[in-house]
Amino acid sequence: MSLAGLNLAELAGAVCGLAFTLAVFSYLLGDNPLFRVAIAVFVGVTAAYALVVTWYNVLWPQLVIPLLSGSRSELFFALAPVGLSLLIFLKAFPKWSSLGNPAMAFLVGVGAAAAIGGAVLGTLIPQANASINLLDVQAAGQSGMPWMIKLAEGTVILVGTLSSLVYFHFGSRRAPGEPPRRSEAIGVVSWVGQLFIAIAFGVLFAGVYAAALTAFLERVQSILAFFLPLLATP
Amino acid sequence: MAEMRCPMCGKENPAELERCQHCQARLRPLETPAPHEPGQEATGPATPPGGEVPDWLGSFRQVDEGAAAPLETEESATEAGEAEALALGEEELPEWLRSEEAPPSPAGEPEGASPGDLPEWLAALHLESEEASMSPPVRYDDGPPPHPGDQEPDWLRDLRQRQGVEKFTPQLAEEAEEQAADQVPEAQNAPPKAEEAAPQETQEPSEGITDWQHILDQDQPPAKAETPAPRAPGEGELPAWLGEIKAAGAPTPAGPEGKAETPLEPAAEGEEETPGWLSRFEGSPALILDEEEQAALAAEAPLPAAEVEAVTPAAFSSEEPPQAEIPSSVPPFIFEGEDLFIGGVPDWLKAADEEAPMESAPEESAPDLAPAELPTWVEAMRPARLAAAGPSILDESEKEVEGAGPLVGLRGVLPVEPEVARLKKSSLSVRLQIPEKQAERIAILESLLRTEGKTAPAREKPAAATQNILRVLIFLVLALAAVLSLLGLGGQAGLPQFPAPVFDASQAVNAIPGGAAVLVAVDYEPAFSAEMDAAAAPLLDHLMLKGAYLTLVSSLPTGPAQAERLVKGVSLRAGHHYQDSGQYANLGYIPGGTSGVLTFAEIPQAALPFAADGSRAWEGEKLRSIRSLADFALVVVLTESPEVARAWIEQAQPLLGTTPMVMVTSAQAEPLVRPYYETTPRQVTGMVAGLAGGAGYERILSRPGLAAGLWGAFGNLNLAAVAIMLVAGLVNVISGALARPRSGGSEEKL
Repeated sequence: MSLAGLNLAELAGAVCGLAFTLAVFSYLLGDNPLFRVAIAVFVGVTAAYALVVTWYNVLWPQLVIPLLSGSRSELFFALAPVGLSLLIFLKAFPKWSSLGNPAMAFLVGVGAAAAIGGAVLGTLIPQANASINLLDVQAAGQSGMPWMIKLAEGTVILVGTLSSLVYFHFGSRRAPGEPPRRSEAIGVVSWVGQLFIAIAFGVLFAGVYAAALTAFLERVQSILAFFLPLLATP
Repeated sequence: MAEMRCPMCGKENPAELERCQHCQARLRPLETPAPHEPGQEATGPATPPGGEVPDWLGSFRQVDEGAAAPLETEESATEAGEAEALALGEEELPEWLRSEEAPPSPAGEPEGASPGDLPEWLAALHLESEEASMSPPVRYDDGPPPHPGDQEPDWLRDLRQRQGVEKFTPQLAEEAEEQAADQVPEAQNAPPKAEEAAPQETQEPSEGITDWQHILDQDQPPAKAETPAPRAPGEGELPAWLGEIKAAGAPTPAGPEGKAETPLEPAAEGEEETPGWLSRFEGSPALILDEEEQAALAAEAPLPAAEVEAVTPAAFSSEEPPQAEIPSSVPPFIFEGEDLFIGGVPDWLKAADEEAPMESAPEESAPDLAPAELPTWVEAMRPARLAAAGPSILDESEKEVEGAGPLVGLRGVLPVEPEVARLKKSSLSVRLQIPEKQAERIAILESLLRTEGKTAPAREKPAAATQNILRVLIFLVLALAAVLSLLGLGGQAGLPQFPAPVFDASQAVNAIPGGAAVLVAVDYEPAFSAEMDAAAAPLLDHLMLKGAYLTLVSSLPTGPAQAERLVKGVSLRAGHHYQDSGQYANLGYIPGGTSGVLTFAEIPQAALPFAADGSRAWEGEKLRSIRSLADFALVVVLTESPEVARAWIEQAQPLLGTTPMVMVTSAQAEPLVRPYYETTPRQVTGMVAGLAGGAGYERILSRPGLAAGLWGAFGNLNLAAVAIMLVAGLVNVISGALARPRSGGSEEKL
């Protein structure tokens, strides 16, 4: 693709992309105004776009239109969120902030219910079942995996899970005349848990590094894609 | 600026003031009466100019008029400033003595009560004062004054008549005095300050004493400079009322019926003359006791004369308040042992005395209690002297004797002046005993507090710091590797082997029927577009190959734009020519976060009734039959955040039923989303994670795309990063090994 094949909007976008990319790369030399400008523009554009999308995608079609030209049922269903929204707006005024407490309580309660219900039904119970089934040697045969490997895999996962939980146990005993300290057994198990936690953090860091490296590659590729046609153009 | 001390409260005042600025007492007397010659009758107090004698004071003077011979004090040089005449006058009296400015009346008595409203006894005084003329001050040099006789106050006369007691005569007083003299124990040393105050008062009566004090002290001889020897009983300068106390010993409640009068001990010869207002009581019976009580009282040890003498009117006029030595002058009104009972200690009380004393009971009842071990910081707070002192309960004898005010000489009374006004040296040490460790910590804390708020000088940053150089160097190495790889100079790298989650995802897409409605949730931020586009592009390409109707949603405000760009880009690169009119629908932004996802999962049409462009997308052919997420053939979630992935899995996946869910995540979220793939049954059917997952998916499809273009450079960059880490680690080890022999054993441990 050459720059000549780009229209004005695409060309402007390419130029802006290059400029902002170089501005962000300038952070290598330390904090500087170019980097700050790039960050500020990114945050501003994101906020503005979010505002526009919220208005055109949520408020206008689901609130304004029903209030203006909706049916009776639509009007009724639109008044409830309008009233609650106005009560929440009163939280900005200290004198009337107490009136917004019911609406806030409704929001918090619904959010908490959804989060807690999902966590229990979607994570805790299934993950507990999965941990139990790790040592199911019969299921290993169905999956084609040797039962020894399945058993070893399950044991490693079980030991890692338990030792990691023990690592966060901070109870101690106080002996007369001595500072409080954990028992020896818990200390050994927590040391094993430290190893698993360190491995987990290492894997997470590797994933973050991989994502950042991919982004760097893509940016370098875009810079090359911008300049190479210029260089190739006679 | 010269200052003078108030005779009432003892506080310092400027010399030019007439009244004390604290208690409003008069600082200087109005008149200085002429001294009396021995043998001369008291000429009476000088009448204050333009003023009447107060009633109560006049009644006191009445006693003086009846005195046969005024008492004479020892001759001593007196300065101008002898006690003023009794006739102080209203304007010379302290404020609280004046009828106009009387102190607050007690409860039940209206304020500003007129003389007619006064109590009977006070009214009697008032009447007597009207009759009495200015009587000269009484001198007590020649023994007890004669009984007032007809000039006896009515209340006293009535009292005596009621009791059937004959008038008190000087002979009776002498006899009582002789009896008491035999029983007065050796007197303690009179308080030197009280004695010293007397000459001060007599020498400079015009300073710091009131007029009525002058009357009390006018005939008192100035005390000698040396410390007076302990006075024997009956000797010394005793006022009449104190002499009476001494003669009578400890007072006992007197019965009003038929008790004989016990004469008070009058002032003996050579004693200091008692003031006029006290002289009338010399011949008056203070206690009415029967014969047995009198005998018992006579057998008691009378008050030490020195103690009695210490509580003299001179103490009122002293410039300095009496000190703690005064308490020894007046014994407390406490009886001990058999003295309390005239007829002897009853048997029942003797039996009680034989029992263990109460003081030792607590100690004896718990002998096995071990003393508590106090922590060091509590021990440090213990005062030094108090730690060595005994019980904190003071005996009666140790109670402080009042040295100022009208209650001078009495023990155990509330102090006239507050403790803070007394310039008394504290007997307790306030210095804490601080251990060494605590002292060190205190020093550390003090140094921290001193340096708090003080900014340390900023270190000058070098123009080219080592960290900046390394950072730039590493960037240049990686950038070079990336450029060379992207230009094809780094060699061609094959696509990686696809992992099992990627294969399962491709199988899930293969299982959907052609043209089926597929929900695609685009929930990744624009900053992760590079990786997410590379990971999601082959899956979308596969869906487009299947002809699936893509329904795009997003729980992020920037998601709809991202989704639009992604679909168009994949379509353009792969040549599918997907159009938004009939091949995909962008429903837009789902508000509410986790709650919004749950709402959309339950009632998608109500949650997003309109598309991003405002059209009614649910009325289209493909979405008309969709009532819930379970009606979709496949649900694909594109996100880089583990939280968003978990929200879709927890809220939407339970409502999918048999509809599979495929996750396309970033490499950083894969470790946190993988457990949902490992469950049985699987909550996530397949996963495509990062650039490696996208490259593997492209290998499955055999359709190279974005991932394939970046995979080679990605590998080369990883090799470069590994090389950098190895080199840096090697350099660190070598530099550490070289640095160790230089410092030797003096290297500080960090």
